[in-house]
Amino acid sequence: MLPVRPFFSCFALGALAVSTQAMAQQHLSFITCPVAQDTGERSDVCFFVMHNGVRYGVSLPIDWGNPQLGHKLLVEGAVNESAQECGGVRIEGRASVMPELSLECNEIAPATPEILALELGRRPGITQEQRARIAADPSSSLQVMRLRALPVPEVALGRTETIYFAFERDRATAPDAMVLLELARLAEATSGVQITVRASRGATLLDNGDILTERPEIAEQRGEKLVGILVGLGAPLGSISVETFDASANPDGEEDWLSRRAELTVSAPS
Amino acid sequence: MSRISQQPASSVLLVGASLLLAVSATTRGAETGRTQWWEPGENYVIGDQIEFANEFGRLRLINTGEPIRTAGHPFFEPIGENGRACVTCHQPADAMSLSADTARARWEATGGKDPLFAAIDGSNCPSLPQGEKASHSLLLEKGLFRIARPWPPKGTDGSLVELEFDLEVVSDPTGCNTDPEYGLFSDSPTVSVFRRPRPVANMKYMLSLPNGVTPHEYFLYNDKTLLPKDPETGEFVSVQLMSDGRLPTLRSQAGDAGFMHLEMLADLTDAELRQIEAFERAIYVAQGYSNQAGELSGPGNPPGLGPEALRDGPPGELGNNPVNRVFGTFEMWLNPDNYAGVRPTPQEEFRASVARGADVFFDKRFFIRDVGVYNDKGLGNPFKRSCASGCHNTVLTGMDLAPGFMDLGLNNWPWNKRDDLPLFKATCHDDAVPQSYLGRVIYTHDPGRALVTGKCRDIGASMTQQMRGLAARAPYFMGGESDTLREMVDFYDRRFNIGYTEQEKQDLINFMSVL
Repeated sequence: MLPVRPFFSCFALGALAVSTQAMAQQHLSFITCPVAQDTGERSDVCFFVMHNGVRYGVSLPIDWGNPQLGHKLLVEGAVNESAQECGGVRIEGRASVMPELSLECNEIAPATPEILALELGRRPGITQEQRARIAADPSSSLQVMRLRALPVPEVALGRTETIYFAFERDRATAPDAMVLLELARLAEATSGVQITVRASRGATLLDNGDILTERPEIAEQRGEKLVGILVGLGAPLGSISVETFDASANPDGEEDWLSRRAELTVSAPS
Repeated sequence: MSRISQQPASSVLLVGASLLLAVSATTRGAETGRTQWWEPGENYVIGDQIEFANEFGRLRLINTGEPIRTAGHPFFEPIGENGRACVTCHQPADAMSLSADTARARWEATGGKDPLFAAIDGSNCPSLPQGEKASHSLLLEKGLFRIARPWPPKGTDGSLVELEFDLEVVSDPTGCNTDPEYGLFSDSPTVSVFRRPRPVANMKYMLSLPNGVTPHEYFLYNDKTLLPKDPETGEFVSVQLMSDGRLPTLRSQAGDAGFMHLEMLADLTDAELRQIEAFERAIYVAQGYSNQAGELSGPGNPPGLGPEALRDGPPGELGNNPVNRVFGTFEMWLNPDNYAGVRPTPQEEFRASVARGADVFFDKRFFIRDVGVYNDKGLGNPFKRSCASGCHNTVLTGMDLAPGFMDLGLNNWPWNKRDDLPLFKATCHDDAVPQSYLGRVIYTHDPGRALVTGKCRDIGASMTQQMRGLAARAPYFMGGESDTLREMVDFYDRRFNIGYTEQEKQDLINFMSVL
């Protein structure tokens, strides 16, 4: 399955009743079961979480990775009371699907009249113009219809690009993959190029005081995977240096997801 | 005059003494629905097109290349030690696959002596008594061939793949996985799994990289690793060709199949590989005529039907949008003009059912849940989509353009339990990423993609298949789980708790029967 943008960018829905308990710019970091919200027969599901009696939805970048029933979810981010997601208060940050099974995470919330009224998660149907064109010429129903392309990122020599990861994962998003494509092209076109890849292992301070630290090998795993991708895309192997670093010290519970990252720099010889 | 003989005289050219034989086979098939077997080494010329009867009507094969003379052609000649040719398991009448009906007919016709039943993979295990029908039960009942994979897995260069799980044999009804010569503990440790041959036609759709979905013409969707490259050209290639994606090109697949299935003793030459590839790229198959809907191609009919649509269509395009609806519009069959005040004819009723089936395929959403290597590749679990907008989204062929390795539940417990297939217990290592919905201990009839990657999370995953020529090539799914289109629909209904009505099921069956 390939995504149909832009509906894939987040599990965004409109507002339901929003608790006033959530404070603006409050940072949250917790693990809980996600709940899938049915939004009706013809629309996508979204996901929300309940935390301290408040319903939250997490706004995620394109292709970051949606929550999964059967697994707990690590939620990290800042509360934005002025916006809603999936019928809850929006959290701007990241959510990570925990790798191990949690079969107790098994709830699909039915589409209530309140949810249906919000017309959430709907995808565009056929237009009258398209329908008329197909009626006049059925073969036009097989014309090529492509998604809006992801933007091609601008990369530059000497500038560091940063890729962030979900907890314990080495999967880049599609926009990150676009960055890798452009970096590889830049490297291939640069004589004597030098590429540095710095990959980290991170940690998160949870609201309950626990610290969640990634396994030690993950930094190396991220680095090696990125090197393999860059070389496969045409970057000269000998030009790449990779190093790992530990960014797991002193998590503070505020945007700790930033500690799980890789920094890539393509440079020309000085 | 049979319906078949209405084809242009040039469409089936037969050479010399084989002429009478082949005409009679084709005509008989049209009348009785029996198989129309092409023997290795027989002499035919494939012209522009040829039709073969099946239960639902007629399959049409069209050739976009020069006329193909089968005599001397490496696809059709028995080039190995066991008397088989490529055509043995990729029969034109069976949409370039092989149906279980055909296998049974060959057994009856030859007393089990046809090279189709070669011990190497046409029997449940080479060590079994080959003259006994029971030794070939998986081929005869489910159209399954033994696929022997090295254990631990090896890369195409022979290097060992890093393994994330251990494998035990829990039950072994064929005896091959515990066989001292062919099993897991033999001198050449081997895992035997049993799979259907995939259709070798409509290849531009199998081989094209996805268009218009950058960066996914470079990256696999699920884990954002790179797609494989053609070892000869260095270009990225699709992994749609094989169910486990182990070989990325027609040439590599042909070479491998020559040794594995035909028991060749020497490599195919470059010239032979070129001939095989050219043939495979030139042919398109789809149902061309429906017993109930009539001719499927041409004006007034849905534009996606018939092999001509495949020949002319755009490969590698995502069709899960309300215009393409994957197979194009069927609207003209849903409400034909002459319905107004006039009782529809049986043909019109059937066509309307097909059109409703196309709507169910595209519009009816359900919770797609706990599908390994699918829900966990970013989509979320559950993911609420229809057949078309979920997994079967490639324009005109209906594979997952992504491309879609996934564990639908066909290979792993608890969704599917088979008594006829081996059962393995896979135990994933503590440091491996577990299979997303089955964890670290998985009971599987076929580890699928994991026999290539060695990864725990890939256990049971296989590649979606094209949906064309279904009427000609039952049973369905990689392991032949469904003997009929009805059983296939019932599997999906049960697996995803869809709740299809009887009418919706029949509409879906009718829809798939004309593809």
